[in-house]
Amino acid sequence: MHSFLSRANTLFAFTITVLAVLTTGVFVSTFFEEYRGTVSIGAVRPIVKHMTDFSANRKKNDLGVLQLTLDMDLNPLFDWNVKQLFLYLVAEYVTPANTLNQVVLWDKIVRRGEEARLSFHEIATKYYFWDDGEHLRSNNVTLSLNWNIISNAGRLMHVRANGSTSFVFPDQYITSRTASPKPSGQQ
Amino acid sequence: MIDIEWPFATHMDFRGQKMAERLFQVIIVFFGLIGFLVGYMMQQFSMTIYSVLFGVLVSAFLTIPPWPIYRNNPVEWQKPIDSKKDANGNKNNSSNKSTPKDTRKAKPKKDQ
Repeated sequence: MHSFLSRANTLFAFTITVLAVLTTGVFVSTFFEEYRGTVSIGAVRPIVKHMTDFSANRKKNDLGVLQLTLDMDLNPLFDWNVKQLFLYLVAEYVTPANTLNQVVLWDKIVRRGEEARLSFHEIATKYYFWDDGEHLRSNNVTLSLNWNIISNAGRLMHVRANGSTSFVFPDQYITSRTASPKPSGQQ
Repeated sequence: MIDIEWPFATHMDFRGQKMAERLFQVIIVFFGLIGFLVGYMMQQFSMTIYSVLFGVLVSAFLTIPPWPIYRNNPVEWQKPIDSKKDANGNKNNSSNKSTPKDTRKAKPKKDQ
C-alpha cells in the first residue's frame, strides 16, 4: 500500500470480492422462486396435409397446419435475477409409433425491459408441424407454453405454464394447395 | 509489481496505510449492503452494481491519493552513526526506538 498502483490493486481486488458475494446473495434470494404463470392458447383451424418431407427422409409424412392465438402477461416473472425468458410452444401427442411426440411450433425471446404483455391473434406457427409418420389425422394434440428462465446468477429452469389446450385434427387430408398459409419460418 | 517513479510523493505511513485500507473496506461494504437492499426493493440488480461502483469511486477518491492525514505517524529513523564510534554504535543498535521493521525500500524521511 505504499504506492498508487499497490493501493489501486488492493481496492480493485476487494471490489471484485464484494461483487461476487452480492451476486451469490442475489442467487440465494431467488432460489425458491417457481416462476409459474397462466397463459391462454388457442388453436385455430387445424388441418392435416400429406406431403413429401424434403428435410427428412423423403417419405410422405403428415404435416399439421394451424394458426395460434396466444395471450399472456409475463411481467410477474421478471424479478431481479431474471435476465431474459425463452418461451416455446410445444405440441404433444401420442402415435402408435411413439409413446410421446413433442414438436416445438413457436418460440420467442423476451428480454428484461421489453414488452412482456404479449398477444397474438391467429398467427402462423413458426416451425413446421411434421409428424414422423402418418398418424396426425384424428389425433388429440395438447398445446402447452413453456418458458426457460435465464438468470443473472443461478440455475436454468424450464417451467410449464398453466393453461394448455387440446384440439383434435380432422380425419381427412386436405389436398387443395390454396387452403392454408405457410408457416413463417425463423425470424 | 510495476514500479513507476511518479514526479510527486505517493507514500503513506504504515498507520496511514492501515487507516486507508480499513476505510475503503468499510465504504465498499457499506455501499454494497445499501445497494443490495435497494436492488431488492426495486428488483433491479443493476442498482446494486451501480451502488458498489459509486462506493468504489468514493473510496478511490479518499484512499488512493496520499492525503496528509495518512502521513501523521512518520517512520522514525535512527540517526546515522559515524564509523569512529563503531564499538559504541553496536551496543546502541540493540536498544531500538519504536521503529517498526521495514523490509521494503528504506526511504529516508522527507521534509515536508
